[in-house]
Amino acid sequence: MRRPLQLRSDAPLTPGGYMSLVASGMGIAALLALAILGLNLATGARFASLLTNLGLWLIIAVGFQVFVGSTGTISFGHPAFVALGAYTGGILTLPPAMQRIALPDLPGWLAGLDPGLWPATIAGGAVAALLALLIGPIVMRLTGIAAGIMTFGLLVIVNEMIRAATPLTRGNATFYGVPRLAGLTEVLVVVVLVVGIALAYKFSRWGLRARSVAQDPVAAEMSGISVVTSRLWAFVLSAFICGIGGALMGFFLTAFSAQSFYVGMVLPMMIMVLLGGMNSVAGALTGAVLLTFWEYVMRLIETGGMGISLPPGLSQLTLGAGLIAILFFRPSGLWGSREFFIAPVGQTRKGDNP
Amino acid sequence: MNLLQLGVDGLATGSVYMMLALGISLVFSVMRLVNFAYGMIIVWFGFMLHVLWGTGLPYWLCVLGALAGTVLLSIVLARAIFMPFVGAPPATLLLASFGVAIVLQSVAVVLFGEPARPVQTPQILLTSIDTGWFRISVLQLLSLALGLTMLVGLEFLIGRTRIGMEIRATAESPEVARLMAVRSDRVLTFVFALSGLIAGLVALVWFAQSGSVTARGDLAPTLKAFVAVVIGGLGTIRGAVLGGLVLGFLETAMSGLLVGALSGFQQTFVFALVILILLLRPEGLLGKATGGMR
Amino acid sequence: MLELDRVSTGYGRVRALDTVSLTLGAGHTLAVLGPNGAGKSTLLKLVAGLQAPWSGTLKLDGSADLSPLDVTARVHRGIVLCPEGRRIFTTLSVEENLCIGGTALLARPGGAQRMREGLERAYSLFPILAERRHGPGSALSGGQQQMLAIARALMAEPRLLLLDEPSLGLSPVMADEVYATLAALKAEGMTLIVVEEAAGRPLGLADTAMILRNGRTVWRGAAAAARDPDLLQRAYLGDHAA
Ligand SMILES: Nc1ncnc2c1ncn2[C@@H]1O[C@H](COP(=O)(O)OP(=O)(O)OP(=O)(O)O)[C@@H](O)[C@H]1O
Ligand SMILES: [Mg+2]
Repeated sequence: MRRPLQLRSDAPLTPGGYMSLVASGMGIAALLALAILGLNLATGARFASLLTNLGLWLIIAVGFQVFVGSTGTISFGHPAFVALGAYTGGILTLPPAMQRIALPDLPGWLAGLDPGLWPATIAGGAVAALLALLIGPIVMRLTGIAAGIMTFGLLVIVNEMIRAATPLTRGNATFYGVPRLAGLTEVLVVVVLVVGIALAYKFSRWGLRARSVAQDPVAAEMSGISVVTSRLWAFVLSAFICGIGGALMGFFLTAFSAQSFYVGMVLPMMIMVLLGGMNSVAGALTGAVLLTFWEYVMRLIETGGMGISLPPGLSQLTLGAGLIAILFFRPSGLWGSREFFIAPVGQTRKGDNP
Repeated sequence: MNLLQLGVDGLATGSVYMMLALGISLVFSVMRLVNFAYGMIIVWFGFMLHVLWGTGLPYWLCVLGALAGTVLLSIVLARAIFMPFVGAPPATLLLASFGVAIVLQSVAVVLFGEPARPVQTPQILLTSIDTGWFRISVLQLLSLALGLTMLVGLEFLIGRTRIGMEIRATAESPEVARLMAVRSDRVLTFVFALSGLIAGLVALVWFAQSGSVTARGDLAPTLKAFVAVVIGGLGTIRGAVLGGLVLGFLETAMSGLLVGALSGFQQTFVFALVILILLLRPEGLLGKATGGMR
Repeated sequence: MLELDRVSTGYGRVRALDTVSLTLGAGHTLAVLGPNGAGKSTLLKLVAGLQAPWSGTLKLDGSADLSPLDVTARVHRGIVLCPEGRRIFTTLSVEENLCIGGTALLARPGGAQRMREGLERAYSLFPILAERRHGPGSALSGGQQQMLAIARALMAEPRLLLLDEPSLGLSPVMADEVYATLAALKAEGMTLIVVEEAAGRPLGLADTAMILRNGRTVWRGAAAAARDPDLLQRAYLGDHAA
């Protein structure tokens, strides 16, 4: 009980094992995606928006997990990356007529680009990754408390910047008019890709390095691994995935504001990753599914949709209490550091920390 | 703006931030917890004062009642939630306190709703005195007096009393203190009570300034406290004092300097400075990883 | 006074002590010897209550079962551990260190009075501490810190004093001085368990000795009998002796 949030590095695998691992992880993500699609068909698309929302959270949770799982450091700053993705995607794809109304002061070189869904999504991820690359060398020096506080600072700064950059973001006002470029299918395709990227990173040389740094920075440093660099790549990749999730979220919501990606977003992200197990991509997926479902039920209850009506604020209460309970009773989450992959017996778990 | 005025305003604001930082730092020193729920304890003082005022009691009684309530809240949180986590890594503790903050906030939302509630303040606090060289409000005087009293009181309590000695021993090494039969649960409870009292006193000044409280108003005080302790160094009185004052002067200076388009970037500049300090001194200006709260 | 019957314990899944038994009469001194990682510190932690047994029983004074008592309760029963590496409070003054050591007294009748007497006794036992009483603990030399650590443990008026490597890192002269103090305590009738890696000094002090290796008792007997260098070498290196 109450063991530290410790990291276990899974066995370094043979190249064949590595490929089969990533492929089978993606396969299972694809099964999950198909199940969601099937559910959508079976219910006559009545829950399409809930399910798309779930898909978006799957992406964001996996992105967040890439950082938390490989560095053992918590971050309060990741909603900032989601925000950057959403705004970047939105600015790039706003139809020209809408741009003139919503963003009259948009710099000329940004106006009327309209690159389409995928380039705009990648751009959202890239902008987020760029920010991570710029500030990472500083933030990645810190661990534990200092890192927690600094990433919180990052969130505040980015939020303030977004609010202040009115010509680009409409400041405090809602950013609206984004075309609905992404729906359930697009989101689920990205989920599968992102799971593949996360697993490929986790078991790659860089991922193993980051995790060995998390386990024992001194020993890692002595064996020639740069602590800051190895954590930096986890940070950048994680920001990229979250940025992509943000861009898609923007394309799905079509209207959002700076407040949508602020402190309120930290809690669900944190719970998804911790509930499933912060060392596991599978855990992030599980956590996102459970939490999205739970929030849906709670919202139904709060709006009186289930015959009983409870005051608003209650769903947040369950989340806060849930976070405390997870930390206390199961700090390693449901999955621990396990992944759901199929690998030949004996090929996992042999050898040990690099 | 004249420099003297800036000095007075900076000192008064710094005094408030120092108190905020002290409350966080004290708890950190004995159990390595950076309490994210601290801002919510302050918010709850506001609500308690609001409710008590509604009963028609005299102001000073309301304040006493709310202070007692805040101390009690802090103790209950400590014993019910934080103390069972003793020994967990700091990151787990930080996250748990984040959860506590969320719980406290949602209870406030359930009970009081989202809109702001008025917090009564006697008119006298809001009057201001013009000395000819600078202006100072009674509230600022109160902040300075509170800050100074708290500092002297804490120095005495931590440095000269039996419980202070036990706090320092626990801060340096909880296991050895336990080996010497120091009742760490009592020490922790006492420290949380103290931190709650400090939170209440800061809250008094905080809400006198704003005049109202909202359930989501915890972010500002929590942020100020975090930034102050990061600047000065966590877990020591000196660090909290220095960090609070630096932050206070910085903000005052910036609100004078950052005008027009730049005025929206105040937090950004503050955090840029924090990043700079952390780069040069990862433990804060006066920080040391462990040590006994002095 | 103290009786351990086939006690095992460990950390996580690692077994650090394997069915260790011992009996220690009041006023006697036991030396526990063994190489690094033998489980010596673990044995003391077990007696002090920092480490819970996996199996086996610990008894105090013939009948009282120790297992349900936590560290603090054991200090109140007179079991005090002077931990490995001294662990004095460097941010507290010398006198404050002693006062923390005497915390257990405050719960008893006449606590404040006994605390004063304890301080006086500590200062007469170690005059150097009286000189430095208001200085910080960090300003003491290694030997002085060890004396402070012992004096601090004595403040709780122990009946059974557990010492974990009291001569670790000390010069031979200093180590002799520490052992002279321990001999004086023994002469007063205090029961001691002394853990050391090097055999010489503790065997001069102790009545009985036991040698641990890899968590097992490899030899147990009279201290005098353990002074055979051959036996020690075999016990430490593992060419069976038991
Ligand atoms: N806190 C701990 N966590 C995990 N394993 C531990 C811990 N403390 C000790 N051990 C293990 O238990 C075994 C016994 O340790 P112990 O400290 O009792 O040995 P020792 O005889 O005191 O050694 P030394 O002479 O180095 O002090 C060792 O294998 C050690 O690695
Ligand atoms: Mg030892």
